[in-house]
Amino acid sequence: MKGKQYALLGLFLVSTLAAAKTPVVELEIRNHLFHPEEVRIPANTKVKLIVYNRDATPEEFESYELNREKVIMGGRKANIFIGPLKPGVYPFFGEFNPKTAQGRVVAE
Amino acid sequence: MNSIRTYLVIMLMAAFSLVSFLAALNGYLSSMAEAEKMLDTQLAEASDLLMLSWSGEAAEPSPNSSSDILVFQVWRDGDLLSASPGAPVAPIGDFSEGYRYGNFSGYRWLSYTRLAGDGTAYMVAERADLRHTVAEKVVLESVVPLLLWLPVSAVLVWLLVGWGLRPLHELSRQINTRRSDDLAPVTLDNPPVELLRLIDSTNSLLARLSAAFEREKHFAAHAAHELRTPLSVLKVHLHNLAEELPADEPALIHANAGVERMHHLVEQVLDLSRTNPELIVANFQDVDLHSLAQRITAEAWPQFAEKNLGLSLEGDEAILRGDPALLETLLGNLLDNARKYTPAGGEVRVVVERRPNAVRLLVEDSGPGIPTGARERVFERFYRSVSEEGNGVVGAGLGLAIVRHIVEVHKARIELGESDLGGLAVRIDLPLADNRG
Amino acid sequence: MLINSVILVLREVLEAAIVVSVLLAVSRNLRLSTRWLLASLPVTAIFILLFSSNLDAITDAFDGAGQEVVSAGLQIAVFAGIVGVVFITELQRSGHVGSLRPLPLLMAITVICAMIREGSEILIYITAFAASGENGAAVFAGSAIGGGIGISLGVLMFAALRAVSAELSARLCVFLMALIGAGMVMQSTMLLEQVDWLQPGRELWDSSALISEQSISGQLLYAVFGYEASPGLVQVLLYAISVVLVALAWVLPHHFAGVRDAH
Repeated sequence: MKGKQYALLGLFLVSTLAAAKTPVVELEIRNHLFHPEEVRIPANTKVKLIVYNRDATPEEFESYELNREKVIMGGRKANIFIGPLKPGVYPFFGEFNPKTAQGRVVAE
Repeated sequence: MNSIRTYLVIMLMAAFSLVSFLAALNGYLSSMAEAEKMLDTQLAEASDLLMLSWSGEAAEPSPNSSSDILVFQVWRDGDLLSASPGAPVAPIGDFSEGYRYGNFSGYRWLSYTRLAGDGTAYMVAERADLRHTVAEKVVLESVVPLLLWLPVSAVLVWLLVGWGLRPLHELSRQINTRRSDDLAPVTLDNPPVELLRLIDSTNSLLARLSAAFEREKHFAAHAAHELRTPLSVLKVHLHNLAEELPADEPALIHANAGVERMHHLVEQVLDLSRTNPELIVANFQDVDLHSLAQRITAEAWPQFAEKNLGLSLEGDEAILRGDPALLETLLGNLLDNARKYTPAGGEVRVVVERRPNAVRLLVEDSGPGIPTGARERVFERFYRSVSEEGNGVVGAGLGLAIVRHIVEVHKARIELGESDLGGLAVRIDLPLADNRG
Repeated sequence: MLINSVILVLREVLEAAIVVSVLLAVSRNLRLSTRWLLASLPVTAIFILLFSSNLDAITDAFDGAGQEVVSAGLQIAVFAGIVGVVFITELQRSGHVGSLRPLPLLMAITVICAMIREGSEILIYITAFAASGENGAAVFAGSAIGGGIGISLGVLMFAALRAVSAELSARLCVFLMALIGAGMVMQSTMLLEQVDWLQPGRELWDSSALISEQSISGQLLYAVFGYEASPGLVQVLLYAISVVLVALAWVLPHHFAGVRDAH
């Protein structure tokens, strides 16, 4: 019970600090491929990724390097905030079709 | 849940499937790595083939160019010299030798670029999503049966564990189904090491129990026998003493009464130990309860007459299976009780009655009876009601305990009630069928 | 394809299996009936169906943050359940007789919360491929293997927890529950960062070179205590707070008992 309260408290504290100006990057999943395959974002900045799943089948956006995972049902979109990131390459993939759904975020 | 078998089956299956799945996964991974290496080599060889076969003419139709699984391009100095029909116009690979993954034409491809000495780049690309399909299919053929056969191994494990636990079942069956008085040792053919100690300790326990029963069986009898001799000696000396003393000497009367009481007690203890249902070896035969009752009542008659009590016997011949000596003791004890508790001038009645499945023996008196609350306790050894302490009745409280022993040996039912003579009615239903054991 | 299915399903199943086997060991240690597990399975199945069939609506709720918020809520509920289980167990062990009654219900709720999200993800994954037809055999075989490995590990862990002495078993259970609970909180912070409800803070370290999250050992560590190769400040703080909370739930009942005895 206590843990919940602490978590919620922390949550309100930090979300009020969040800046409103967040760059938005869009990408699509089509035929189990990410378009574009490579996303370039500024380093040390928080970025909002909007991922559209144009396939009929669900996909899970997953990245170990970015610590992100989210199921996107067929024909839907998902908002995923990433960063601020140090300069570097951060691969991501579609966990349901990892052979083809591969992409990377390049922070620079 | 608390079954050894269920526990073992679940644990064994968990361990078995964990190990076999990990092994299958290991096999799958190394097979796929092998296949990948082979596919990579094939792609590189395809680029060699392209380099050797391309003669420098533009857009040469290749026999497998219609395939959309494999595409190729030939570049020199940034110009696309030749390409398969399915290939895009943009380069499908890097301009340096090696493998590269990339997306084009709506698919993901693995490309290989071979650089010739003159700077010509020969690029071959293969669909990334399809290149493993065949290899995976082949590997799956060996993995899937493992899953399908798992239920079979579960059934086998279930049966085998059950089979392995059979000695345990056999042991508990032997202990469970034996009669309560059967103290023979447990025997198991070829017992497993794990059960040896259990069997040994069980058997040693049974042996000690059996020895204790044996001692108990003989102790009371031995004690009573040993008491008889000094008692007889005592009687003789009292008799001799009576010659020299006046007949109304109070000490002599008390001593005689005490010895008489002691004698009665010893006989009853002997009877009690003889009739113990757990120890007795009864001598069952056909007995006519009516003629047996005739004999006993005739023997008892003088004592009844002395106290001015009426004694009657009703009923006809009634044959049943029983031990005649025990039945005599039974009726004797009941008559003894009735005589003691019925005040002078009263009446005692014995009835032998044939019923559908039993012979009923009924002993009634016109005495004070037994209150309902005390009826169960009168069967206890050495039980004596409060009232009888005062009215000079001689007895040790063993009579009804002996009666109950004999009733149990005959698998009969005993019931205490009220008699229409005004006193106690003892009803005993002795079954007709021979149902010993 | 097979190996991807194995990893996906194993990751989800293992996490739930560990929660179930530890709670099962706790209730066996306390000689409680384990019927709560049987009773919670159909409820879980219903919630999994509801969750996965309404995932669209759930995702769109809270301005697109619904999926993460609900998942994080479930994970925090699992953590709260674990804290409650530890507290009640230790209360009983420190001599407050008769305090175990709410335990089966609490365990059932914890297990249900732990299985809903995992179960839904597996269900969505498998139904997607069952519909498409291609790769079906590989996905089914992979899911079966992943599920089998996860459940077997859970069963063997239960056996191990029951094989050791009662005292050691109780300590191990609390230790594992602290790790699992903190791992749950860790995952929920990640989900809340993902929808910008929580600021990640700076990255504290990067141990992916040591144990990569993709590796089998990384997956196992992730399942047991939410291993994160490159955690942020907030994550580590919340992780530490969670461990401390479980420790308090463990120690406080004995402390009370000690105070009471002293009077």
